[in-house]
Amino acid sequence: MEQGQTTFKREMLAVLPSLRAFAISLIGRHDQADDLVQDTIMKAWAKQEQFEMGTNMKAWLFTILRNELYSKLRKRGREVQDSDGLFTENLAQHPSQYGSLDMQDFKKALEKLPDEQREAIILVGASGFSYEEAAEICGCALGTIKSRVNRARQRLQELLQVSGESDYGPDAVSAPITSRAFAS
Amino acid sequence: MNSVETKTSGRKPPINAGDPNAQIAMKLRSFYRSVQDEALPQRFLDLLEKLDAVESGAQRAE
Repeated sequence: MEQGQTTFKREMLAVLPSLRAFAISLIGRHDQADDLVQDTIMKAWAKQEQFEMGTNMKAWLFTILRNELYSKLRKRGREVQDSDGLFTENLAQHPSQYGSLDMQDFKKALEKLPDEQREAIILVGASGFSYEEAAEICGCALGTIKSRVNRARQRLQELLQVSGESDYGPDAVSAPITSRAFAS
Repeated sequence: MNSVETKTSGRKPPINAGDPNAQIAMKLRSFYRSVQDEALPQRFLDLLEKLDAVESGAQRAE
């Protein structure tokens, strides 16, 4: 028993850096991501009887974290209508957190993906899961994960090739209209 | 997808050089890795210690 517990803790500890990277990549903010990781640790600890030693601890923890995140979002969604997803309140964060300009551009592009595409490409492309495992973590069909990953790749390519060449946001179009409206 | 792990491919590969998918994959991995390599916040280690202590205390009491 003592032995089992120590192993559980050690295995969990080994996954934490990747779990935290997953949370930060999904949410974009360190503080909120760390809160989410903390909730996940407590949930997992409480459910440790359900975990079978020797099975995939990493996939198990990622699933718990993801469920926590979406149940939080659903709760929040009842208070605020937030159709743009996870990243909407992050517009004013520090860009300096990520070293190179290249990295900042990439992070911005990642933020623009729909939530389900973002998580799919992170799980498969960075966290090291197979398509099958990612499908299991997200609770969807294998084909769904594959198509999400493909769409995410295409979208990222578009976004990253466009960035730098044209910096016209919606403001370039809407600003003159707004000022005209105010002038009258 | 899992093919490119070039460690020293020059600092900043020009856009459009090579397979764009490979570029995206590389950027994604290096972003993820930069976060993963950060030191784990002490609060997580403390939390695990505390959970562990509570549990073994409870077991001894039984």
